[in-house]
Amino acid sequence: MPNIKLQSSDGEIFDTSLDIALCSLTIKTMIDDCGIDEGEDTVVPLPNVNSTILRKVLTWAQYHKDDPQPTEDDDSKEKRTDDISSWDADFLKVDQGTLFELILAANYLDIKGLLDVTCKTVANMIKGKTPEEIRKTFNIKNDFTPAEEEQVRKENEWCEEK
Amino acid sequence: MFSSSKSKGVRDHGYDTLILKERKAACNLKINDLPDDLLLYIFKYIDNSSEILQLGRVCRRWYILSWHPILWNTIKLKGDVETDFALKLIFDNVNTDYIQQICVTNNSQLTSYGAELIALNCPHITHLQIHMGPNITNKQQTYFLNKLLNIHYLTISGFLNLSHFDHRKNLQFLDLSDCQIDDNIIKKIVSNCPLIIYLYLRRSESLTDSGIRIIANYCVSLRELSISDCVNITDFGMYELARIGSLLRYLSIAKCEHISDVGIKAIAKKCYKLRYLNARGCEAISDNAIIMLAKSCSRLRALDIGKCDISDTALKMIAESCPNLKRLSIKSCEMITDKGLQFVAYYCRGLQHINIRDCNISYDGYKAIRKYCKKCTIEHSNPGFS
Repeated sequence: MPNIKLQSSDGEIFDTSLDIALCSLTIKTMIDDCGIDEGEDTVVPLPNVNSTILRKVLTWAQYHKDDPQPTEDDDSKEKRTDDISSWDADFLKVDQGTLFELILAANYLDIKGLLDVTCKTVANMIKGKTPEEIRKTFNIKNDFTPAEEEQVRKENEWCEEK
Repeated sequence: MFSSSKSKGVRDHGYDTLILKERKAACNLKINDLPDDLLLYIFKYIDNSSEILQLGRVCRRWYILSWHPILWNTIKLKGDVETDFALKLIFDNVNTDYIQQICVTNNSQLTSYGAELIALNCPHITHLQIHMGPNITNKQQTYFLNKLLNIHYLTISGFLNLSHFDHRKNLQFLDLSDCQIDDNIIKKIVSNCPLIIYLYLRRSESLTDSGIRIIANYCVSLRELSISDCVNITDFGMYELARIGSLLRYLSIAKCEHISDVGIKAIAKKCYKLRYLNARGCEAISDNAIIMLAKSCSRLRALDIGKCDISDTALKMIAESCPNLKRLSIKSCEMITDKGLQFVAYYCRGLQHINIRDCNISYDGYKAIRKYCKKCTIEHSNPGFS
């Protein structure tokens, strides 16, 4: 497999095997559409991803490069969050900032497998928590006025834990 | 309340994030820095409707997002919630065109009010799972279910009482376990649903062989049938069912104690593509029928013959004839010994699960499974193993 050079937003160059880089559909499209030739000294600029995050993304892609291509999202399919592999769970033991950066990067680079597993991880952090616990976990400001808060609370009184 | 996602699109609060990415890179990204579509992508993994509504109490932005139609394709009510109240709130806030599936798996029963709400707001749903309450009259149930003409998957428990069931061509999956189905009702339903593929009628104690005959007559596409604990079914029922032939893949007749070798042989002969058979607790079934079953249905993947009158001879035939067996239960088969188990271990190496509780199996048999079936979970009742 030939190599390809990827440039992060802060200018670092990553010399990467092409089959790893092609996990990203964004890069694949760039190569297909813009005719970036393999093997030549072309550099693919990735202005939305910094070097720390790109390094993580490439580590993930290296491990998962032989995974079967995910099928098109089927809305009727059950959305599970308890099927994260132990490698992925370990890989995603990072601070929240990094986790959200990875989500943005996976979305920008169009790597569905990475996007799914990072979003599942966040969903698992949300599940089973009260609104107050969620605010604490993610450091979210409660911007409801007391009247609004009362109204929302009343609205879904029925779903509170009894 | 603040602005309704029902009438206009949600503003993309995350747009700025992408533009200001460089500047943000230095500071720590927070969950609310993610754009709306990615937050929604995360929320989609939360499949419990009451949890989605809880999200709306976190902050204003989440409140607006929590009513986004992509989160309401499926309504799932679990746990201790007021079904009627919840449905009313959801139908008031979500464009009901987006709702495809309603699954109520909590303890509360559907009332006539709830049934009317569903019939009125989303007659187009494709999936419905509910527990009918005792207070919905025959007339109300008939009206309600006949409104849902696009239904593909229907699961009802509780009190089913219909005067008629309109013809519908889309119904594929029908689970009426615990509805006390009798021959009369099953005829009203299956005679109008020619495409039923999956049919589950567990614990229908009033169902008899003539009900099975009706099923075999009308359900020409049937692949899966469960009549476990339908205690009145006999060999005659199996004889009728066998007419479905090679389409049948899944059959559960657990605890139908009147079914004996004759019934199983009829099934084995005609339904030779069977992949799953549960005959647990059919104590009248012996080696004779299981040997024929094994020979004829070599595609079997899962077999439960717990408490059947089975010895090593039948087990040997199963082992030799069904190489694809993944799950096997011989719970309480007291005639089976280590020798039979060793055959299974040697021939069915893809075995993933075996139940040998209350059998006369010693450590030798257990060891054989361990040795040859590397991926197999062994369920046993001997504290000396492991």
